[in-house]
Amino acid sequence: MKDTDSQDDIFYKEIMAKSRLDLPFSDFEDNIMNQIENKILHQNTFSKEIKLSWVFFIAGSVFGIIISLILPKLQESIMGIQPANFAIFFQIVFTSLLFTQIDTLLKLSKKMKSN
Amino acid sequence: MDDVYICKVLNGETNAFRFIIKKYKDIGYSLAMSVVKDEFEAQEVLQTSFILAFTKLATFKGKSKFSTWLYRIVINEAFKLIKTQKNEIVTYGMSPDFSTHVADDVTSIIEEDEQRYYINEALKILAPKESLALRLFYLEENSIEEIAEITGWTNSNIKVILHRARINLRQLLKNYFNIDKQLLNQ
Repeated sequence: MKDTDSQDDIFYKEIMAKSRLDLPFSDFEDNIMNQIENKILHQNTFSKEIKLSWVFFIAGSVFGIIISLILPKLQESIMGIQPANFAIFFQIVFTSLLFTQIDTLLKLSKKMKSN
Repeated sequence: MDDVYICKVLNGETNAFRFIIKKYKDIGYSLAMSVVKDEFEAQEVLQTSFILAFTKLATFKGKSKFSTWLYRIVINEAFKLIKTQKNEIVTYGMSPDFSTHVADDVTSIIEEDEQRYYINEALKILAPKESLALRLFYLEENSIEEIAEITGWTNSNIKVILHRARINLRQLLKNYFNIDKQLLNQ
């Protein structure tokens, strides 16, 4: 506000000084702090779950790559299907699963970071 | 002082946030009340705002005052609430009948508490932007530039809102509550 307040400004300043409200809820601080603590707890759990998901995702991916490398080298047919055909089928399923899971995990990780 | 507590919170001392709540809860409540006009909704707005401020505290870079940053959150949340609820806010011109509150012979000194009550009732009747501008300018003594930073309104818009708010508030106090300059000076 200006240093040289007009009469009007002084009047409104006096009026508005009386408009200060006190929060009428005495347990407000405790409520907020409880909510914050719950949020932190939830975030920690969420973060642990995401990390665990990444571990399983990487383990699954490595396992899938090994299987898709081994399958074409098999000599015997699997359930009457040639190993080469079975390997192609497995690789298609594996690749689509890999992409959908990585997309979900990236979105969740992003969400975790933004929180 | 705020910086110390902000650093503490960012370093994992969650309890330091209690200081920030304690310091800003009343003014935050006044600002939220300016917009939503209901004490329970204002409390809801304030709760959401403080939790949001806590989670986004790392994004506060100290370019503006912490209070400016926090008030912006409170005001955004308050406007978001009235937008989603599509509340029908009673604006000046649709003034309810306050005759029951005002005795016919209220021409003498009005007690301080009564004045507070009537001033706050008048602010409830004013449009959200008007009561908010008045509180930020006269109560918090923010400059026009600071109000622009808090609300996102333009400087000229703020001046227009303030001008309208002053006229409407004076009219309300005079017509409905019989409070005028002379009475306040007594």
